[in-house]
Amino acid sequence: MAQAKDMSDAARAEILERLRRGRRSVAAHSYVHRCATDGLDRLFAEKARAANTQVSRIADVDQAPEAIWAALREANAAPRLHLSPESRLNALPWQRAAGLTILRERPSGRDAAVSEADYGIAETGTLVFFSGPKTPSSWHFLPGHEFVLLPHDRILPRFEEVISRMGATMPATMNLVTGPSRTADIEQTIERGAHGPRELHILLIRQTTYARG
Amino acid sequence: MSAPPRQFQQAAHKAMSDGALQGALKHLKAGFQVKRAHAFEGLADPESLREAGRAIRAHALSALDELLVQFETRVRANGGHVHWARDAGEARAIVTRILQENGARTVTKGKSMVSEEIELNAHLSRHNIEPIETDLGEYIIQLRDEKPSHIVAPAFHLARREVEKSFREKHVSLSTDRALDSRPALVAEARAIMRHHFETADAGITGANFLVAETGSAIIVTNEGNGDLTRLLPKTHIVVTSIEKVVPKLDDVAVLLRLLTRSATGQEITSYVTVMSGPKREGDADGPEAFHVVLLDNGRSAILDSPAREILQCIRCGACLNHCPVYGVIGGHAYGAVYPGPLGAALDPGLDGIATTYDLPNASSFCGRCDSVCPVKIPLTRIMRHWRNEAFARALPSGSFGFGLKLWAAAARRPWLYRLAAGIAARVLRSRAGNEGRIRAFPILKGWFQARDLAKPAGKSFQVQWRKRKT
Amino acid sequence: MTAAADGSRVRVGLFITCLVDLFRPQIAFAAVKLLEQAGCDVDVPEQTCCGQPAYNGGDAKDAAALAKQAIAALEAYDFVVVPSGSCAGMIRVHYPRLLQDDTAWSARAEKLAEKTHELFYFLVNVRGMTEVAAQCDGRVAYHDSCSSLREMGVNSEPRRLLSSMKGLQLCEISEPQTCCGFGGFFSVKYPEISARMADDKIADAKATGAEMLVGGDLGCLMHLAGRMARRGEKIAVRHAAELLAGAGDQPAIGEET
Repeated sequence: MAQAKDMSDAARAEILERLRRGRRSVAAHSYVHRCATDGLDRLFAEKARAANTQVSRIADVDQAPEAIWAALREANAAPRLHLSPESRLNALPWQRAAGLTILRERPSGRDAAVSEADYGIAETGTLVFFSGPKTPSSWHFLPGHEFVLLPHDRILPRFEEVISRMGATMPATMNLVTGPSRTADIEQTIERGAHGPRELHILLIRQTTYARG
Repeated sequence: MSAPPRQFQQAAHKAMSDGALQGALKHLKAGFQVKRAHAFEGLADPESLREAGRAIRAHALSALDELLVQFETRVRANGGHVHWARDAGEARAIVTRILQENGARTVTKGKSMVSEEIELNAHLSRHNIEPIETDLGEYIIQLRDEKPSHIVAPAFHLARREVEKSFREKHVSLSTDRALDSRPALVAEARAIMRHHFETADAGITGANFLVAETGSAIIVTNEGNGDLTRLLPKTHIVVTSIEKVVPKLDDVAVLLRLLTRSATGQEITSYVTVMSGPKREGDADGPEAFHVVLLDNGRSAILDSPAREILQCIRCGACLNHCPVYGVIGGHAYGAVYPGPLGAALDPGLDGIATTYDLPNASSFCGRCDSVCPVKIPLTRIMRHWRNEAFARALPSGSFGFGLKLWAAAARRPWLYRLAAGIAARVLRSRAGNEGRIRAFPILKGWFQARDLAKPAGKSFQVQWRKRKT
Repeated sequence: MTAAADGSRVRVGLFITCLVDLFRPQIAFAAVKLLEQAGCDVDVPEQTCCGQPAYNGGDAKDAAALAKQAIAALEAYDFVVVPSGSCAGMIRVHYPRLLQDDTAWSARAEKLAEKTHELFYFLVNVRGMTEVAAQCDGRVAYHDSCSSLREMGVNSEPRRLLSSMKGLQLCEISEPQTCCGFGGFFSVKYPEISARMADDKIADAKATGAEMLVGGDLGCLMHLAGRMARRGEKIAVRHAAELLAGAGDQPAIGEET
């Protein structure tokens, strides 16, 4: 163990020494990528749909259980939904979706799951998730069908705006998710659901704050 | 690491008669080229974006040592570990040791060209650790014991039938009369098999598309989500990457992402972009308990202080491969090196030495298309010319071509000698042609005549005729 | 830059290129004719090679020596015009780079570069030429060389002049951006790859139904004509200057007896 550390330290010193010879004086850039600053929810929805995402709108977060249940029925999917035990979505009125069974264990590749996004990026129709106690990061990759709740006032124009709202400490994981999982590794033709979800369904919520804390 | 010299010609020959490969290469035009063009047309100011990409990467290279130290400090503050490796051997040893210390027997892997460069998989297998590629393209070639033929689409050279054949051969536990003659069926099968591996692997190894100094982050960019399942589920996550990938700020990545995804697959963004900043924090619902970053040099620090410096700006989009007419005819394997196409022609001589790689910068017509599509404006042909200078100085592959060049230059520097030599050459060629307008064979410059006739020269050169007119 | 419209004459030094000098002088004569039609006084100073074979072959020292020789021969003219995108590119783009650290020659290389142009670019953009009197019957496809496209900014200019010819039907090949496979010594060192690239370009040209293929770089044209002759293809190949100067009825490349 100590020997390995010595080797890494020696390598470090040698590499850094060689790199110092490569120092030059080069100016930084000043490019700013332009993006719309209003109508963000519409831009977000347009981009997300272009990335094969289902986008629905609900007026209030309390309508989410019924909306999700309806979507599952429409897709002829089993009326079961995985929900992380720590998520504040547990406080939603799931009883209004009477036929929907809520499960709190890890979803498998055929299951549906729901979470809420920390932000949305309008430029590309992208969802942003930070790791934390609420929903395991892996739940954005494990299920076959992912539902995500996103309030309008969490939609920002670009990735840059999301970065500017982050504090000094980084979460362990920050996921940017755009559309379902896909691959084009066989004959350069796109297929969905390579490893992550086959379906992604975003519910845009008009009401700007959650009714329940 | 690279194929020995002269094998390039044989490999290229084989590639040109490979029907399946030639069929796959047709996808370059209708697929990658068209998609990239369409994505860039959607930008209001593509040239400003390319210039910003170049400036960000060049600025990062200008203070690489400082950025790496800053990166290391942040990773450690986040609870992760940073290891430094001068060459492939040191990198392999570090990864193996970490896995052994954690008792890891199976390891899932996200796509990592650096891990190909250091030949990690074979090394792990020799140490009783089973590496399982999870990117579908990498998984397919792992089953076939092949190398990637393209840096973004590793199984690019294969037709669907060949994938089906490999799945049937290797997935022996599945029923032999199952239907597998469609892409969705193949993807579904890979998904099911891989899910099991994701959930049972002891450790996960990924590469990194970018490293961020200010946050201590490694970033992966995928469409499948395999990299995420690789690093989220097991206890240990190892990032195998190289020293030139670091940029100062997360905002820099926001700009580079716009270039990378458009240049690689014609997308505005991929399905998944993940910013990984250390092991799980206290209270996190999931995530790795240990986060290790292995920084590989393997010749890059020397390249940084050389005329080939700018190749280190590369963000591995593959656009140069997709637009290269030579790659479009011979595919990736014929290059006999880790990185094919114009990227490889500019980088491999720096990593492996010019003695075994001189064919790569030479097998280019210098058409310049790669330069025009590179999202970070690397002067690829200029760097290839630098390697040709190195090869010339070392009389590679043999002295005779260089000798011929010097003879031509010696004549051209002396107009009287040039006229004399040209006159003699014209007479010899014209007598060879006889009454015909062209020559079919000649003992000098045989390569020309192997594939073409040569129009016979004029009886009197222009300058001789011109001077005569004037007098 | 003086346009023909104001009637003033300019002194042009024609850099003919060694391939033209040795293999097809009629291209240079055609260039002289076109330049004189555009109101230029044309001179052809004694010249050899621009140095590109040495430059791309890795012999920077000899390339620099040849560059200095060419600069000395050409720098006194108002303009230097070259019937070749690749040799024009060598002078305009690469001489300044090659000599950038040479205090005596760097500025001279820059000065020469600024006034060096490819032939069709010069005729249309600098002299304001819009048409030619020559005629041609038939379908003609134009081949862009990579250096014309990417180093010398040539694209619409030859097409404009060719389109002005009565009877000529200009055909567009589907992939003008894709290299034909000449690339100087690349064609000799990697003949199989080079031939395959030529075959793709020839197939593209054939698909347009063209009876003739013209271009601005003799290297590309000799490579394509030579490959077609080997394969028995029947499309005639010429330099576009020959056609524009009214010499399109003379034997095509490889057809002279």
